Amino acid sequence: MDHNDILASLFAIVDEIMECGQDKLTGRTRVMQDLACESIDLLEIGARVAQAFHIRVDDDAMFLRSLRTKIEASGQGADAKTVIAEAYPWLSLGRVQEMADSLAEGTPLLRLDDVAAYVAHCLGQR
Amino acid sequence: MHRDCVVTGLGLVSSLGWNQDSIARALREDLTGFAESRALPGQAVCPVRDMGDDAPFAFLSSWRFRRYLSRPAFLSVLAGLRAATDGAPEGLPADCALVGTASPTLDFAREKTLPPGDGNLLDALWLLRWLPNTALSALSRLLQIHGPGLAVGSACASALDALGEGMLRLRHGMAPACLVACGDSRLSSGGLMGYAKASTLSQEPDPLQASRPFDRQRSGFVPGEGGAAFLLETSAGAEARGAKVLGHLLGYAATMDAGSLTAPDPDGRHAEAAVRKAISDAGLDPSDIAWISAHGTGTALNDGIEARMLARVFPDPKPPVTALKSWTGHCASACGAVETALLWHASQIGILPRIRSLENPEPNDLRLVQGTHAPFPKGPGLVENFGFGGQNAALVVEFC
Repeated sequence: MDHNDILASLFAIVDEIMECGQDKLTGRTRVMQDLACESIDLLEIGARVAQAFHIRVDDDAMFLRSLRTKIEASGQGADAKTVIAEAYPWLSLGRVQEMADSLAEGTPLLRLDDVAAYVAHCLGQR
Repeated sequence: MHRDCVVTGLGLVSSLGWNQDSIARALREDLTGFAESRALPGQAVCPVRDMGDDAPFAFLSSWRFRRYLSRPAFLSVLAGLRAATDGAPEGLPADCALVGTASPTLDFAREKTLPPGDGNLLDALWLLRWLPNTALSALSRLLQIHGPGLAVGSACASALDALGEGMLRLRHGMAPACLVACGDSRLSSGGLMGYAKASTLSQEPDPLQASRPFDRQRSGFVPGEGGAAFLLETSAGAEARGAKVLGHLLGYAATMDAGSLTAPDPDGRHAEAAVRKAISDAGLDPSDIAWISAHGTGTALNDGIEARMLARVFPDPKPPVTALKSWTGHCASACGAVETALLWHASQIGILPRIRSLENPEPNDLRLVQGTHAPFPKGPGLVENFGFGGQNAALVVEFC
């Protein structure tokens, strides 16, 4: 199952929960900003991802919920890119860089591509 | 400080209709929702076929969190949105209180993935469809109100208890307004099974004749469904914002039988106490009551006890007695709100509804409205409901 296959399934799941229309979704869609997901939605998406891909989903990891906490916990002077790359090894180097850059602007921008990458990572570990 | 309680908004979804026109037509032309159940063939039920086509219904039908609303909760929320729109289209005060009822569906058949099925297929938050306060949580969010919230669970007395609680909250200055929203439906296979096992359902094969309170041929109740909501506030508050007053809540009382877990007290002593206390709470005497809306389930046990109790309380000339479950079936925990709302609509067209299917009343001293509708009397009226577990509630109201 490649990235696009995973994304296609993910779009169906997100559309079921958010009722936003699959045609509106791309891998670059920002989960919190573009879809206005609430915590209750993330719970449902997480449950359905686990069901659809037969994987055990760690919501905290898949939705990068603790990213800022992890960086803060690593102390001053720690390189954000290194922390992100170690905590979320399924993210590409390009996405790690984007995440680190976005930290200065506020909340890191989780995209559906990131969720699909997490799923691929879990599938690869089975 | 005694603060009076007025109704300034009303919302309804019922098998007789949801607005003045549909309800007036149903009452005048005997258009009811009684039909044979699909979930339990041979059993009469009374479903809501038309929830209406107004803005609250359109909104709620496409609200993406509707998946978490059981059917009772959907009915409750819809009625609540309607009452808020009706009474305060400019918005409710942020510290408005919220009281209501919305039972879980008991709809086990819909929850196909409950264990021993594959529990992984359930919604992550499927339990919201079973929690009693989900409807209130939804209304709080949708109407952006933050006052005290309370989900009432006193069986078939719940809605009158909710209205009474709302009234008391205003009296005691706990909130400037209170939205009371109630909804219930037990028409699913799980709901019907519960009542069937308890041998409380009507045995009458003709659905149109199955709900017959106070009739000698009555054989049980007919499950119905519906929702009703009321926006309550003090008359001073209503006057200050120029709100139209639809009616007054004058008195309320509740008691418990302290007896059977299901059957009512055989002498109706504690139901009688609730009625007398509610009338006294309103500052009235039984002789002041101009009309009565009986619980009138159509079960052999309830109606006899209720008729004897009413005969004891009310002196001659007795006020006319209607029984709306003959029109809607039994809306379970929401019945008191649905019946009160329907009576308000009936009062606006001057009709105190006849008791349907009442052909051979059991001998009693009551003035049952039989055969044709009666004129709706001016003056205060009594609405009473009695629930499983010996829960008795009585409310004294007067409509404008």
